[in-house]
Amino acid sequence: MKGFLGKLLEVDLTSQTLTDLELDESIAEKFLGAAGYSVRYLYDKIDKDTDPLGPQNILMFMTGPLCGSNVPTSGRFTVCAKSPYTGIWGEANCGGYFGPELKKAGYDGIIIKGAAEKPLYLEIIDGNAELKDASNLWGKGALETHDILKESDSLTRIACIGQAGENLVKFANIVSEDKVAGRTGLGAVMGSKKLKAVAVRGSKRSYNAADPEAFKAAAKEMVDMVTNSFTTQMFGALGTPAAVDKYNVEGELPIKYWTQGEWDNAYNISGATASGTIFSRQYPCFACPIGCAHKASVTEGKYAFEGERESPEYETIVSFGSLILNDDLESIVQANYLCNQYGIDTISGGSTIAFVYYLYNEGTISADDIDGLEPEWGKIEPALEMIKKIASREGIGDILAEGSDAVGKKFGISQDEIATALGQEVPYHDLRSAFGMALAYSVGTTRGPCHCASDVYLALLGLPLEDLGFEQVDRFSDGEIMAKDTAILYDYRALYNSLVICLFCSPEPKNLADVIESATGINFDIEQIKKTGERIYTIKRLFNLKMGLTPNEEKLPEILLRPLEEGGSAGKSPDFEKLKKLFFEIRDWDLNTGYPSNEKLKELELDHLV
Amino acid sequence: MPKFATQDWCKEYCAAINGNEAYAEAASDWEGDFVFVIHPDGPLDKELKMWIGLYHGECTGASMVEEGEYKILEKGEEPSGGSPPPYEAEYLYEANYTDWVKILKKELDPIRALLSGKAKVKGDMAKIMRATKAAQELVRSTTLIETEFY
Repeated sequence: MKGFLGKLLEVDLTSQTLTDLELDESIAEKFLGAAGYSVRYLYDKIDKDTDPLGPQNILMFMTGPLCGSNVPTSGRFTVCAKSPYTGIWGEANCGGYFGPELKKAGYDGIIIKGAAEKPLYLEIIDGNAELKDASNLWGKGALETHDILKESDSLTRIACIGQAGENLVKFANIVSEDKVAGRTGLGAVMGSKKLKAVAVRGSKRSYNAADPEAFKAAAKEMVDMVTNSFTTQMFGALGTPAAVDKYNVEGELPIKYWTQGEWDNAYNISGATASGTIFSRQYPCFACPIGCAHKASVTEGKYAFEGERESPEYETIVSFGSLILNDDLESIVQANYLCNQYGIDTISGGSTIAFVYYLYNEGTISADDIDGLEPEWGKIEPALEMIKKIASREGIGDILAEGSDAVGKKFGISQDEIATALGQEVPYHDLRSAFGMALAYSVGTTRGPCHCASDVYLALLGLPLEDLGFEQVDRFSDGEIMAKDTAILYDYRALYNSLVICLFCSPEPKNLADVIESATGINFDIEQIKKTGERIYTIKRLFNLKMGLTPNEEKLPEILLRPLEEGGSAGKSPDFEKLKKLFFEIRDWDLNTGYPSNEKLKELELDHLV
Repeated sequence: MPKFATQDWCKEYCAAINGNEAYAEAASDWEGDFVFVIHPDGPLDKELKMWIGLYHGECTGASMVEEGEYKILEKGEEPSGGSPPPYEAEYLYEANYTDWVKILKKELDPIRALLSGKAKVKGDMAKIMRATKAAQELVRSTTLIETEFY
C-alpha cells in the first residue's frame, strides 16, 4: 500500500533480537497507521491481566501513511501501549522530526516487546538496527540524553525518557526534540523495559503516493488552507497560549485548582505576553506551516539561563500558572524545562502538584505532610521542588509520582474533590465553559480524559466540519446536538490520530479525503472518513472494555461540575447524566455493559472481535 | 434609522461606543484604530470601508473611507500624528456583508469569526487576542443603534 514503506521493526528486549516484519496491509486498509494500526495490532495481544509495566506489555512507535510528505503537520508519530496510569488504552503522539526520520531510516514503525535486564538504547541507521548499551545514559535527563546521542551526528533524531520514566513515574512521558508524547505514562512503559532511547537516522527521503499528481494537488490545497488560516496566524505569532486571555474571559481557563472563574493576572501568562517577553523564535515541527512551538530566552533574574529553551505550551502554562495562581511566566519556563528534562507529563504532573496546593491552602494538609514544603497560592518554588521529588520519587514525591488519586487516597480526600477521571488528570479546557468536554473527559474516552480526542471547545469556534454532520451549537448546551457533535469529533480525531496529523490543521474533510485517497490508493470520501474514524474509535472502546472498563467508571468528580461564582461561565454546569445517556444512545452502546450493539459492530466490520 | 455603514451610522456608532461604560473599562488601555472592510455579498453590491478611531476606551471618531484615504500601519510603525485624512489604522478587519450582519446581531462572535475563517484581520495579534472583552463590547455597542440593513 502506498504512503507506507511496508516495513516494521520488531524488537524483543528479553532475547535482544531484532526482526523485520511486513506491515499488515489488511490492518492498514481498515485502520490506517499510527494509533489505528497500533490498536488493532495490540487488541489481540494485550489482556486485562497484562501488567502495563511488565515484559508482556508491548510498546509501539508508529508513523502514519502521510508521514514524510509535505502534507501540513504530517510529521508526527504515535506511541501506544497499555497505559500503566489508567490500565486502559495508552496513546500519545508527538511532533518534531523523529517520525519522518524513522521513515527515512526505513521503517513505518517499531514494535517493542519484552524487557531488558540492563539499560539499552535502540539505534537505527539507514535500515540497520542495533541495541546498544545505555549504562552511561541511565540517570540522565531526557534533554541531556539528546545532547549525548547527537554528539556524533546532530541530525540523529531521538525519542527518549528522563529520570521519571526510569523511576516508573506513572505519568512519565517520552521526549523527542523538545516535543513530547505526553499523556498516559508511556515513558514508564519504556522505563520498565529498560529502554532509555530510540535514535534514528536516515538518508533516503522519498515519499511514494499512489497517485502523485492528485496527491500534489490535494496537498497543495491543504497547505494553502492551513497557511492562510487565522489559527496559523494566531498560533504562529503567540503559540498555543494564544487564547489564554479569551479563555479567561469565557470561563474556559482553569484557575486555582478549578475553583475560580476568572483571574485578573491571566494576561501575564498569555501568549500575548509571552510573544513580547520570552519568545526568541518559532520552532516548527516537520512540514508544519503553523509553527505554534516557540523557543524561549530568559536572560535576567532568578530563572535566567543561557541559550534557548522550549517555551511552555498552553497546558503547561495552566499547570504551573493559573492553576496555582502563579503569574510569573519566566518561572513557568523553568517548570517546563524541569518537566522536559525529567520526562514528566506537565498536565498530570502539574495537576497533581496543583492538587497539593489546593489541599494545603484549604488547610486539609500541612507542611509536615509534604516534606516541609509550603505551597501557598502564587508561589512557584514548592512546585519546582515537587517536580524534582516526583522524578526521583524522593519523600512525598513517591506518592505524587502515582498521581492525584494516590495523593487523595493518602490524605483521605473524597474522589469528588480530585480533578481526575478514570485515574488521569483532566486537561485544561473547563467543561463548564464548553459542556461537550464533560463527555470528552469521561464518557467514551479513548485514553482517559483528553482535550484532543474530542475537541468540542475548539470545533465550536467554527471549524469547517459541516460535511461530517457537525452542527454549531451553544457552548452551554447539554442536549442531543452537543452529544452528537462530541461523537462526530471522537471519530474524526481517531482518524487524525491514525494519519497522524495535528489538531490545528483544519482542512475541509473532503480535501483530507482526497489527500488520503491519493496517498494510499484506498478509495476515500466523506462517508469513508466517517466510517473509518468510527471503526478506529470503536476498536479503542473495545480495547478498553476488554481491559475491564465499565460504564459506571465513566463519571466526573463534583469539583469539575460545581458551578463557578464568577467569570464567563458563572453559574453554568452541564446535566452530566443526561449528556451521558444521550451519548450512549447516539453511539448505540448498551448502558449497562458499555458495548456497542451487534448491528453497530457488524456495520464497522468489528463483530469478529467480540 | 441610519443605514449600516453610512456616515450617519458611523456618527451614531461612535456615540454608542462612548456611551458604553463596559467598553470604556474593558478597553481602558487600548490604543489602535481600525479599518473595517465590508465585502459585497447578499444584498450589498459594493465594497464599503469604515475607519474607527479607538483610544483608551473612547471612540475618537468614525467615518466611511475610500481606497487611498487610509493607511494600515506596519507593526511598530508609529502614526504620523497628523489629523485624518489620511486615516492611519493599526488594524484591518474584513468580512463579507452577511457575516458582518451576523456579528452585529451578536449571532457571530468577532473572534470566532476569525477562527472560523469568516473574517480576517491584519495587525498585532497579541493585542487582538488580549482584547476579547473589548471586542465583545465594541459589538454590543452596535446593538444600541437601531440599524437599517441593506
